[in-house]
Amino acid sequence: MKTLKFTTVISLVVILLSAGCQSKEDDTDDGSEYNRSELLVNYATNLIVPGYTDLEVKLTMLHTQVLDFNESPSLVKLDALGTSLLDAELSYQNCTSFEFGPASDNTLRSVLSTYPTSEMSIESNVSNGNYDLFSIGNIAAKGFPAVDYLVHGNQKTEQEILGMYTTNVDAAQRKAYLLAVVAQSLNVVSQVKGEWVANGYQQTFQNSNGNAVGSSVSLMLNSMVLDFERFIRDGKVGIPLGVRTLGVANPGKVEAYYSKNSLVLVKQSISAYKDVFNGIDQNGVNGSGFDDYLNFEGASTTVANINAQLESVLSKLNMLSGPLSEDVVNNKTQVQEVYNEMQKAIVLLKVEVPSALSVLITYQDSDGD
Amino acid sequence: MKKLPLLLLGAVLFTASCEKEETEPVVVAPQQPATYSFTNVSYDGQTDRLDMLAELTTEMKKPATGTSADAQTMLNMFANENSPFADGALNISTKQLKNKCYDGGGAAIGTSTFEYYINRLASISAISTGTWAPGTAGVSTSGSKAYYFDENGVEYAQLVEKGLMGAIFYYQISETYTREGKIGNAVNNTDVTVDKGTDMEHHWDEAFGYFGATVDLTEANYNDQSLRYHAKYAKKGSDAGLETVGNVMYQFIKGRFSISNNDYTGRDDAANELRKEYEEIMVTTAIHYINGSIANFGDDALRNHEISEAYAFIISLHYNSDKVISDADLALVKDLFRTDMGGQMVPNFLNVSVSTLNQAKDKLSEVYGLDLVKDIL
Repeated sequence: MKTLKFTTVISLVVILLSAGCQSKEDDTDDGSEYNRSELLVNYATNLIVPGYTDLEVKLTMLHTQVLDFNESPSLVKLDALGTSLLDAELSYQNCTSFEFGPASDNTLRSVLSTYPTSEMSIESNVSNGNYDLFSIGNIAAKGFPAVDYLVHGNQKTEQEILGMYTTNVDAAQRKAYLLAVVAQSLNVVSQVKGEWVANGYQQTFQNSNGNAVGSSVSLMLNSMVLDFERFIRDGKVGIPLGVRTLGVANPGKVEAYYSKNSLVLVKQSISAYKDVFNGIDQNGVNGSGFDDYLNFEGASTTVANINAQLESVLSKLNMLSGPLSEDVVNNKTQVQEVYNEMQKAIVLLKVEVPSALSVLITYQDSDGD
Repeated sequence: MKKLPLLLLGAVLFTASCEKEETEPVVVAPQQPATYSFTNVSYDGQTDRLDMLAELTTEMKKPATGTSADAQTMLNMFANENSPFADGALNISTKQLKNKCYDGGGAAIGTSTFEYYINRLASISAISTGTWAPGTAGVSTSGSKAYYFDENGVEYAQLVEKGLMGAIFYYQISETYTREGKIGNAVNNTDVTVDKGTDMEHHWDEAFGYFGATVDLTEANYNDQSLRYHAKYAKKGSDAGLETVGNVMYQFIKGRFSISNNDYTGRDDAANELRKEYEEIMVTTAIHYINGSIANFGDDALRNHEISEAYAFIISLHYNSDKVISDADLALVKDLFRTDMGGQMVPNFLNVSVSTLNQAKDKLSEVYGLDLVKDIL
């Protein structure tokens, strides 16, 4: 019995070993490996690093304007804050698919974009003036959504908001909180960019050019699919629409609720996603991307379908009038159509792409508890 | 110390007498099996307790799906009183979880603390049924997963389930079954009871019963076996290349084999090594869940759930008097996840940040020499 098992194990190992050798030989023999290094260099050099650089520029602008506003608050400066906030949020849409490596280590998404924000936590932090913005207790009291609330207020006139920073008893603390939140966002983005540029992650990323679990292609594809499924489809559209709440809409759970900019942000995220998929940089230059890799592997139909599907999502989004918080209540059918088109894209991205590229989607927790 | 030399001698004599040609005599010694395959193995009582904890856990997870958990039902399951189990065989079993649970006498987490968690879960889940937010107990979901947390982000279902795995299963193995009282030289290892072996053999088998493994479990096949409790979590270390599954199994097998062959040096070695290998399950699983909670930091449901898991495995480290980590270091790590409430340190994850999680991870990995694998656990 024991001997039998041992023999079985041995033969299994032998079979596995020879199988491993076989496929390796095949790969090198016909010399038909896609040049993944070129793809990784394009993503790192032309999309990821420039993406973080632009985001850092936009947040630096916001930070400067907060300092200026805090010095002498005015309606004009308040408006400028709103504009800079939107610029930074739009810029961030180009980076959401890169939540691995430095971004993941620094929990970039959690710092910048946890919504709905908690008015209660923010107000309590403002009034007691004592907070660690990195702690779990403040997970929903920071980043763009918190700035959105601090700058636009909940159903308040601009004059009333300005009063919160001038005549209100907690004015000084509110200014300090606004600055702390923006400074944290800027610092974390700079940290992430720094790890890519100065601390060598770019080289690490470009060198890890296989397609096994943990390789850069695998990290990036997992991050892209997760981004689309959980944060674009569910976060931006599905949850507000009520797909997780038996069809009961949650208008307060849209992104950028207070500024009513949610629709423009989701549109930007889809265009950005399409560019990332095709390896197109911010100047419109089309380099080596997942589209080319898939074409090489004979999956050109999948490429065409994904691009068509993303276009279809965009055209459905263009039929909405916004803000999304009102559309999920008054235009439910049309928002549902957006969601349905997104769902079709998920099937392509999560099933066809990984299978064509032999990359495993690993982000689902397999514990079952 | 008699059986083995006799056997060896017999083998030598036998071989020698048979050899006519001038070949070297072959010594045939009994060989330690690769799996836990011995005669007269039974651990029904342990299996009963494993099953009881499974039913208790199901009850504790009810609030995550919108039903409150009943305090009396859970306490009955803990003590096996008033026939609380769906599986009727457990109701008539003479076994129970509570009287095997470490009782810290107030100093460390013992029976009363688990009962406190159970009561608290029942009382808050009866009144706070909305969505979780910092400061508000409730349900948190992520995809198809749903968990119930207290206002501080603590999932009591995890603290109790994994905590009891530590305070009962691990504690019984490390403080009872691998010690003098159960396997010392004074314990009967001569009289064989059918299906149970000698007393000493039976005690060792009962330790194995708490592990939650199959008898066929090996390092090579752990992904294909139906494993429960610590056996299931031993996979975390093996997945990272530490061969935790194989090492724990080896010591269990070695201990039983040594006892059956009256090799008490082997037995004592196995007992000592088993405690160390088993301790590695706690620490590798804790680090695994810390890594998970960092990766999912922005997701309330996954993050709080994973920190709860990690914390429960960290508190489990306590239940072994030979543990590698010092009491001071263990308290330091625990305190990263606790706050002082009226002089009592209670779990509270609201002040936890990624840097706190990294501190805990680095401390554990430093103490246990896991720096090379800490990021892949």
